[in-house]
Amino acid sequence: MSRTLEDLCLLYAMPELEERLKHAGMPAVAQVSFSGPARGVLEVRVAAAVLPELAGNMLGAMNAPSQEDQLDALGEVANVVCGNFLPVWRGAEAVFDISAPVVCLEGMDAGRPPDGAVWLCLEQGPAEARVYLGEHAAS
Amino acid sequence: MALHVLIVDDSAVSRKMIARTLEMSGLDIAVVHEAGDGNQALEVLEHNWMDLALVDINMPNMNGEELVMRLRARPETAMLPVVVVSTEGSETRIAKMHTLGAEFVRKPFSPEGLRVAVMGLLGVEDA
Repeated sequence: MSRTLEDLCLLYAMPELEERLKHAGMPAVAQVSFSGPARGVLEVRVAAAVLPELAGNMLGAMNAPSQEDQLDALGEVANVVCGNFLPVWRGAEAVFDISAPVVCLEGMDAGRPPDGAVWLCLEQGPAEARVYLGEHAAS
Repeated sequence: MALHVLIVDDSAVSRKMIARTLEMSGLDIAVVHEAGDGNQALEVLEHNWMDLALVDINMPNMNGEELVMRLRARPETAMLPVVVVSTEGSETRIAKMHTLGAEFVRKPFSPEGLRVAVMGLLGVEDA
């Protein structure tokens, strides 16, 4: 997760901000579903304030990207995180299909705790990757 | 030789990023066309000559793997240089793309990584 944010978005984890921002919300959510040797959903959640910087850095834009581009960018981050997570988890030989991202600004509640999660703090706010495993992983 | 390039990806942001990376790679680019899926890509290729296609795997309607197979099945695009740019890069899939004559670059990729893949595919020695 942190490597994707660094390589793709030029956003860097700042552990020194974790205490201050640990309760900050992350309403912007991108979900991708994966299927193959295992099924599930990977989510990337970020604070709303992260989106413009995330998208702007990805696009090399001087001005704040449109909301459409910001959501698209978050979806692409979820896509890349998932694509890099799956071979580490299940091996380089495993073939998975990854769905197109679904992105939402108002939060999505899976209704159950994730099977795995990584949370980190960026300068603009927190970001988290969550994995839900199984057929009906998350809605 | 300035290249006519087709970028195929369902994400508009990803297409813009790939175009920007192409620009930064030092390759001589004449024009960039874009398509949001395999069907749109075939439509673009019906009407435009391309020297290179950069193709994502995971797309709706027609994914990148199917697109590459369709390109190889048509005489007019059978030899089109293709670089698959994807997050999903299992060894099985990469091997399949290689048997179809395509190169593979995993996202996120650098301008240098893209340049090396393209130059290798075009059979041009990198100066």
